[in-house]
Amino acid sequence: MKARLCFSFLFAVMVCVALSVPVLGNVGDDSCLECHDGVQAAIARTPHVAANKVSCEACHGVGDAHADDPSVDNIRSFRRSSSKQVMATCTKCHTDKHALMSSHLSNGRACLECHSLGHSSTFTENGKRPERASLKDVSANLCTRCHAGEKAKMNRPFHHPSDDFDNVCLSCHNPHETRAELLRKAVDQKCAICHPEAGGPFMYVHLGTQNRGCSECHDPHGSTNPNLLNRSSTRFLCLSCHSDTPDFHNLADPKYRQCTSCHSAIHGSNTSNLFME
Amino acid sequence: MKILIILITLWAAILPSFSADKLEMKTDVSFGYTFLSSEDSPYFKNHYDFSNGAMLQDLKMVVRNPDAGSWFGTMSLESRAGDRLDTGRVVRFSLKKAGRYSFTLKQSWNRDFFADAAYNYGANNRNLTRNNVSAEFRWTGFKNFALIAEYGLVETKGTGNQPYTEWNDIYALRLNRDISRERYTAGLDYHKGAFKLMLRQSWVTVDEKSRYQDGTVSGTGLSTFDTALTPSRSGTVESTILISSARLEYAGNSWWASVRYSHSDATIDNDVVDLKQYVFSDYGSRTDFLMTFAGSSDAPVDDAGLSVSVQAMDSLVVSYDLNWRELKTDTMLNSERTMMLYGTSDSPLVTASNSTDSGFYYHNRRLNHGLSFKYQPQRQWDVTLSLRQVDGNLRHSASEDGETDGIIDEDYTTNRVEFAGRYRLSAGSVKASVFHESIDNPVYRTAGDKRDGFSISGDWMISDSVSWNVVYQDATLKDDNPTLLLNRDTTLLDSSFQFTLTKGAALGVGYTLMKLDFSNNLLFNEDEVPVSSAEAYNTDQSGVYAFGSFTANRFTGRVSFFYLDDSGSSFPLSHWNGVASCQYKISRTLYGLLSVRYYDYNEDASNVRDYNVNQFVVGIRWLFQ
Repeated sequence: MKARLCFSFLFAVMVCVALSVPVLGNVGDDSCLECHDGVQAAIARTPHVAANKVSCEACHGVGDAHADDPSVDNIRSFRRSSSKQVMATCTKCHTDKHALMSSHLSNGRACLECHSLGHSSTFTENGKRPERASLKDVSANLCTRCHAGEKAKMNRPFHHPSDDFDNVCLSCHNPHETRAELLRKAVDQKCAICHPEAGGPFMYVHLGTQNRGCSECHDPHGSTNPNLLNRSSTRFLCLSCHSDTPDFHNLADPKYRQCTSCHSAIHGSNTSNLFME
Repeated sequence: MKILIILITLWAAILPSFSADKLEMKTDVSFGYTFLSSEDSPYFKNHYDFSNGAMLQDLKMVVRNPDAGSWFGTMSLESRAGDRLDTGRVVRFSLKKAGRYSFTLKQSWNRDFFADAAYNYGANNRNLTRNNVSAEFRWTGFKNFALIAEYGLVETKGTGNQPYTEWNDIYALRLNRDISRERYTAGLDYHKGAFKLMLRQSWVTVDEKSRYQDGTVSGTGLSTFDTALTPSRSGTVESTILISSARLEYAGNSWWASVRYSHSDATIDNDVVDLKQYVFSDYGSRTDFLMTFAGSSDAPVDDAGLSVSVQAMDSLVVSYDLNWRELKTDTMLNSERTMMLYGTSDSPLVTASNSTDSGFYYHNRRLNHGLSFKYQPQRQWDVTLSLRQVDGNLRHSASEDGETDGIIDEDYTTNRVEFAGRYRLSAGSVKASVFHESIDNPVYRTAGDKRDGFSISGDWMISDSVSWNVVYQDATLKDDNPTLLLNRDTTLLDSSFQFTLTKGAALGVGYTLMKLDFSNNLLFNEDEVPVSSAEAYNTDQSGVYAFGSFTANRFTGRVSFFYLDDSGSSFPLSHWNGVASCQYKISRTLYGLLSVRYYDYNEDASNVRDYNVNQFVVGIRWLFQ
């Protein structure tokens, strides 16, 4: 009898507790769109749609309370979120990204520094360009907003082809994995993708291309000098490392003033270990 | 443009099989015509493609298929078939079905043009086209797995010079460049929870089949001989490379780790035959040099890496990176050199030849360590300490006809320490960093044993309509050797303001300063007398730029302007670049386009290379949805 009474009492307590706690639940996309009807057209152009099992509440959290009281304080809003909060939401689906892979993913507002909010695909150039990967800008402006030094170099007379069609920075850099990229300094391998004549492989390798890579002599972001060189004349470059040229290299003589006149295969050679072809 | 026509045909063939009312289609196409005026055509000292003619300015076609049961979800075709406002043409086609597959095909053409008879004796002149084709197919229909197939082709073709020195003179040899790199890749990704595995296997071939152009080349006149050179070349350098790579990643709640390994096995075959015929104009005599190469090289590369990042505490992230890379080349090359002295007769008076079997072994091993600590006690600020070390060993071993000619076995080390910090304000942030690098030089590198530098930058939202950012960087390269007196100092300052004037109108102005000072003492002997002279290089570039955009009624416009002045002592020049473009909405689907560019280049020392260009583009844009 006592046990029965105890069970009844506990059951009554549980019912009272359950009834006193508001049950939070998903309200569904339709409820959200009743008020936020402006996002429907934009979200249809993104992968963040029901067909991919992405609902409003998948990112913003359950919307029950917000539906009752439409305040920004009772829904997950990303306008003032920290990088950790943004990453925690995005990596629920984008599991191949991690905050520790790149400084880009642990600074500022992480993903949202470059990608627009999941439902506001930004059209650039007055809607001319597509909303590729929901990027805020498909051109190099995306990167140069923060990397102002590189923008200054890209304005020099010699630079890589850069227009509004593509972001030229992404041809070489992977913003999601900056750490691995910087460590490996595999600059020469990147350049060889478009410059096979300089990428080898070579029988005789120039060590200068092996450590700091092509950027030892070239500035890939832009230069006032032909060939994106760091100097207007090759001898100034070569002398930065090779100060003790063999005796007969009299640099007062015009024919010794351009090292590549003789060492023409300076990226690497298949006939000469002195890079003279 | 063949690929664009094929893709449009394919597009037209696919779409009729679908009911039009079920698809969401958008087409945006701009046609135009370019008019050009220039003082000094066709010489341009820049990378822009300034040319006249009709063009497809922009094409974008997108089809979205909301039918979940259909075999495709999105299909898009984009192209720029002649954008004269910057170099390059591109076509990109993609086909996607979420959760099933994605396919992307891209082809781009970029022009690499340079013409300057004074620069390096004209030996760097070129008019090349870089054709880049890439295709990627990714099948994601299996749970946790992705199958990947990729294709890549890069071709560098066109005319390009190569410098060559003989008889105390320098020749700009004219080549028809023909170099290609073709790659096939197969891959498999496995992804489950926090675990990820990526496997790739690539087959790469690199072919160099460049040929000298027909005709003779005169020397630059540095020699007392007046010579005419007729070169010819046959044979190829062919490389085949097998690249296998694996990568393993684990992303835990508070840590992330990655292990990578790749092995690249290259074989290089050289069978080039090179003939150079010299005619001495003053004497009417002729001398030929025939060089025949036959040999091969094995060039394996091993690359392994480990990266670990741990969120040790809420406020501390510790990261360690390791990279080990080893490149070896083992070469055996037979070179046969034949000299034929003809005198003034048609048959050689003297023929002398020698054949050499050259062996060359090269081995560069490099081990990188990187350790960093990022401390962020509060969201407002963080500091990072980074330590990096490159530890390498270089070995050479050369032999001629079996006899060892030279052996090198040396270690080299680079150590770098960097300290950086960031402070976030309510409406902006400030960043600063300082670094020191010491370089224990490898053999052959005899200058520059330490680098130092710092940078400071900031951004500030001054008001709702005005923002400001600034960056200042300074870096030096020096050497302790008092006889070298090496000094290289680079400075960069960039600062800009952005204004939002009214809704639809924005303006930005900025200033850039780039300075470089380089000096180095040279030590060499002339006629066995030690000579010491100094080389110096100095640039002092100031740039001013402005950009703006506006929208008013039916007009939309953009302007940008850049002016650069280099007042340094070594290569003073000035450079203007201004672009204005506007779009007028004629109707809901039709727009008129107009663009104007002014480009001006002036060197202070000489006006031989100066020029300016005025470019006008008119066009029509049709938007159909």
